[in-house]
Amino acid sequence: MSDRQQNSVLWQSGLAAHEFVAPGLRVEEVPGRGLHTVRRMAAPEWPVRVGEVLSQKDSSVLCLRPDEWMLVTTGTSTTGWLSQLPTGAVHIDRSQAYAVLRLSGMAAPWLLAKLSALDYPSAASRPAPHCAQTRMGQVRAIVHFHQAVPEDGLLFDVMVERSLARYLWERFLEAAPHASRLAAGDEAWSA
Amino acid sequence: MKPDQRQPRRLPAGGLIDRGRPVAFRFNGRECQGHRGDTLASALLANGLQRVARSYKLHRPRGIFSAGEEEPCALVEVRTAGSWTPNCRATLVHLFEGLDARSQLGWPSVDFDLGRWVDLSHPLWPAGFYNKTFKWPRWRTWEPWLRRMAGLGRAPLQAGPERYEQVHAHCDVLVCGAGPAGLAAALAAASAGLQVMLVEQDPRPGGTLLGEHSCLDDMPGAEWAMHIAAMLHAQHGVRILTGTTLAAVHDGPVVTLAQASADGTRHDCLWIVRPRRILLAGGATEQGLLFPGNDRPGIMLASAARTYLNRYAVAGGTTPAVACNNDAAWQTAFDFIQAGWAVAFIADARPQVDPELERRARAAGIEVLCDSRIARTLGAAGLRAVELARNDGRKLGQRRCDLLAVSGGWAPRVHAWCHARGSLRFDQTLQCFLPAGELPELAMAGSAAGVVGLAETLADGTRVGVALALQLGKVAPATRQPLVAREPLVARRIPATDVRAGKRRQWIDLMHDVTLDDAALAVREGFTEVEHFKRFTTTGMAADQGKTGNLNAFLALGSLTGRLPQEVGTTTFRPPYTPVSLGAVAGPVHGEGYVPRRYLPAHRLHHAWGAVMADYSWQRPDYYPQRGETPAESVCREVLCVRHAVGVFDNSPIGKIEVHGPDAARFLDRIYVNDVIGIAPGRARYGLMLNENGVLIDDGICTRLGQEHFLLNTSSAHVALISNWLERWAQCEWPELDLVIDDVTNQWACYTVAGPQARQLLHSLRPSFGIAANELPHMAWTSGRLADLPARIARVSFSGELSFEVSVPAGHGVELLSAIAGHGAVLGLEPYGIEALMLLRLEKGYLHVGTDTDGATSSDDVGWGAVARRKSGDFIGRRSLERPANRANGRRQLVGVEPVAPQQQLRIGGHFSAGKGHGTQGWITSAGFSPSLQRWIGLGVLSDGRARTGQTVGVYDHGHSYQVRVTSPCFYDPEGHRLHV
Repeated sequence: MSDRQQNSVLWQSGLAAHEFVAPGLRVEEVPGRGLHTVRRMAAPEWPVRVGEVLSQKDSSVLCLRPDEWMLVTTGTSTTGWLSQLPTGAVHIDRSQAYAVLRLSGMAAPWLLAKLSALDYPSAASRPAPHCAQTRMGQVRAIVHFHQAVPEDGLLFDVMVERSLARYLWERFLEAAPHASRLAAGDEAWSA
Repeated sequence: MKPDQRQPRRLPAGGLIDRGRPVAFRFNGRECQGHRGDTLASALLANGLQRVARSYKLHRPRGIFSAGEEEPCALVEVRTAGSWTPNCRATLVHLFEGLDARSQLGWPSVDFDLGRWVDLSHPLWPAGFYNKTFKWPRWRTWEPWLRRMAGLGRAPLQAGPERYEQVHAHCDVLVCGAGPAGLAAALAAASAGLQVMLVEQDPRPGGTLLGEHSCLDDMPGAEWAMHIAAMLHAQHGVRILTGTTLAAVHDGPVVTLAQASADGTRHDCLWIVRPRRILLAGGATEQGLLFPGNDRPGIMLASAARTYLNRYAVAGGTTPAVACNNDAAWQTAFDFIQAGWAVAFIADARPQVDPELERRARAAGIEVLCDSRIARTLGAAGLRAVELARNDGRKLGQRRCDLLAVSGGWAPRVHAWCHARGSLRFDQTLQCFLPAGELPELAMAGSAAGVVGLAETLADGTRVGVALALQLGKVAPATRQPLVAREPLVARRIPATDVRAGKRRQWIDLMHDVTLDDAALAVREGFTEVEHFKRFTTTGMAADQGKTGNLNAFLALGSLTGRLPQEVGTTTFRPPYTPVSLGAVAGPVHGEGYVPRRYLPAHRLHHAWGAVMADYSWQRPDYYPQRGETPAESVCREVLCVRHAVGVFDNSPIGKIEVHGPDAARFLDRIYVNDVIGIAPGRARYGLMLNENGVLIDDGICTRLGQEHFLLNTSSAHVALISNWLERWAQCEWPELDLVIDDVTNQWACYTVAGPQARQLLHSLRPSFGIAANELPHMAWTSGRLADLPARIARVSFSGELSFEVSVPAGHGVELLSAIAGHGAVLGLEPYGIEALMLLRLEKGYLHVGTDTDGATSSDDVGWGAVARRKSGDFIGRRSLERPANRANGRRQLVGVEPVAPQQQLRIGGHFSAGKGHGTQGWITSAGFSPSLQRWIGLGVLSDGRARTGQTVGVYDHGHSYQVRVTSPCFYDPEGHRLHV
């Protein structure tokens, strides 16, 4: 068992693959993210509007609710961030509670639009990264839209409860061909 | 050019079809040919097939009546590999190579149908006959026969190759209809910088421009439409969807669009669109005329005859004629003349028509008959001739014709306006219902709004597009209106419909075989309100929703009851506007995607251990069969392993809700029936939760992890429910309490190690904390490291044995479970599944909420009356427990039961009964054969059950009766020695 497999929620759920590609689309599991919920109160510079994201280097703070933030780090070290928290803030480690599925490419917003009602295709026109909690393919998910990345096009991280990761992954697989066609404009009238 | 012999009605030139790409298809087994760009209807007409269907009720021969979604007659079955799609309108099926279509009714064939006897005996089958006849001996006797005779298609029984998609979309302006008004509006809105979605039911934009001779900006209408669509397509933020029909407008507004593939692959997509503004520019539907025998094949809407002629280069007949009450239908005659055909006559109901029109027609050799009507139609297979008469009854004799183009006026497509609760008014000039008033997010343009004339329609589309842009804070730049050099005749004034009942039948609804006689019968029977009238006659129902007949039905009802059309009103136009396949509505929610499946952190390991997985909303091991074992033998072995050695159970799905904060204890004390404030840190207590009615909704362990930190375990199926319920109480009812609720179920993998050897096994995993009985007693909790992993350990039991629930971060689940299995092997450890767990808890008489309780079970009923009474503080449901009904005698209480005859099997659902004639006194809720006790045992709810301990009661189960003895619910180790070791 490789490290990648050991850390992969999808592998532990019985799937062999942790990535797939379709025209204009790449979906992969990103293991090993540090995910921490902060409740009640936040550090002064953290975003206060729901949907806003504060990004620094490889870490981000997502404002999910008026009294809930999610700290996303690439490593396990959160000391710097958590030390900023005022007394009374509640911090809960949820690194193992979620799987992070990364969607990139021009078809990524259409893949999300097939399973969720938010306006993903126009997300690219918003300059700053942002986030949302939504119902996706019948399950709750947190979507983190990164700024457009040159080599990957649009980049979304979808955080889903670990027990539902395989279910959502299979929905992504089903929906991918149509999403690719939508992104290519094949479903629309063409002159 | 000579006409194609295989397509005798195809004109040698013209039309928008691709003559270079012939398409072979089959209809009722006959090899036919059409062209790319044809619909099935146009190709059938081109092949000289006039009779394509049989009517739904009377089996009358039917032809093609329209050229669009309003088609009431030509319903066909389209076959694909191994499957078929019923109720396809031939006018909307786009021809593709290998298309195989069949008529839906008619045996042995649509041409020679034995079911025709129904029509011959039509007086027996008036509207609503099934409400009055076929009642003896009962309706069910006749129903199968009647349904076999009638009906609209057969649904395939097997899953076919169809694929259904869904997608959500957003836009500033959704324009429905890419005709002249829709194109003009979309252009205006897009030029203002708005995001525009333009949807069109047809595969190509243009609407009526595709079927009419018109000239805009020196271009033919169809070419102009393509030019504008191309301009829009090139514009950023514009998406054009063709082959897509608006299905419904919902609150929000949310609009659903049904997109169908045009290549026969049945790849349908339901678009769920959230626009900021909606523009309805769907145009208007031509209405039929009422006259005797108006359903014969060969009778067609005048606009449809024009469309087939101009767009598809197909003449619907060799001897065309026109019967109408407005100018627009005259265009059909002139277009036929221009195409080189002779037109037999124009019969116009109006006493006077525009003299210029009359002159043009006579100059073209057409017999013009004003103030005239069709008195009768003749022909067996299809229309052969008509009998004409003056409006005053004077006969004008017969005229030969095999295509009668009819027009009784136009009905604007206001359905979607009505979906959004828009109101209607009756317009006397146009004799139709038009939108009245305004709606905040919805606008109408063009002929859908009652605008008449091409130039006026284009101007109206631009005007509304600009207005919508302004509403959204954008200004559309001034644009030049296209120069309309040629446009078809239009109906600027429609005379009031003259409804004349007679001996011969006149159809007001072709799809449901509703005649004027049926309407008169409905009125005689008192169904004079339009909604009652619709239901009695069934007019306006089924696939076409009365698009070509509704207006005539309303006008006929008004005429029959002496009311004005506005007094009659309309029926409610409900969604969907056009049939939408159920597959598209379901979208991805079917099969594996129907219900979300949850997977355990160690799913792969359980699979490797040979577990039989079952769906408990989570995929969980049911049991672990060994070679040659039956399921029952496997479960029995697992139970005995826990009782005599040690077993491990994957309890990861158990609900884990953490409550933090200074007021956490106060909050939970109000939630649980039992005391929570008194729980010391590091200790746990089993508790019950009631709702406001005192009904038991969940149970579980409440552990105090710290002074202001609690962990609640809930039933695995109730996690979301309880979590949301707690949030509601915290946020809505007690906002003054300072606490945070967090569902951490997914964060932790949890494994129960149970059995006499459990402590020894944990010792071998090198715990960093003490686990001796005095260090970690029953209902205690601690944390530390186990097998070199961070772990939380609770000494709780659902089996009655010494038991430890070990939780580690979910990512370490496989690691811990592997370690447990590795170290446990020498102690005889075996994994056990849900089935064994349920037997273990049954032997101990432990409650399973939802199995042993229902929506009326209170805490008193499960033996918690004393606990509730002892508690000094308030809790949810306490007041309800004091209600007389909750304290009355006869309540069903949880008891244990065992059969008097040892070999008697107990089954869940058997009712406790005092004998024949007595009602139920309760039922068995859990039952099974105890491997530990070697006998059948069960739990049940029995009226006054606790007071009847030791008594014998009867059980009635599926026709059998037997006796059981009432016992305490706990059958195994009632003193609890085993779990306290």
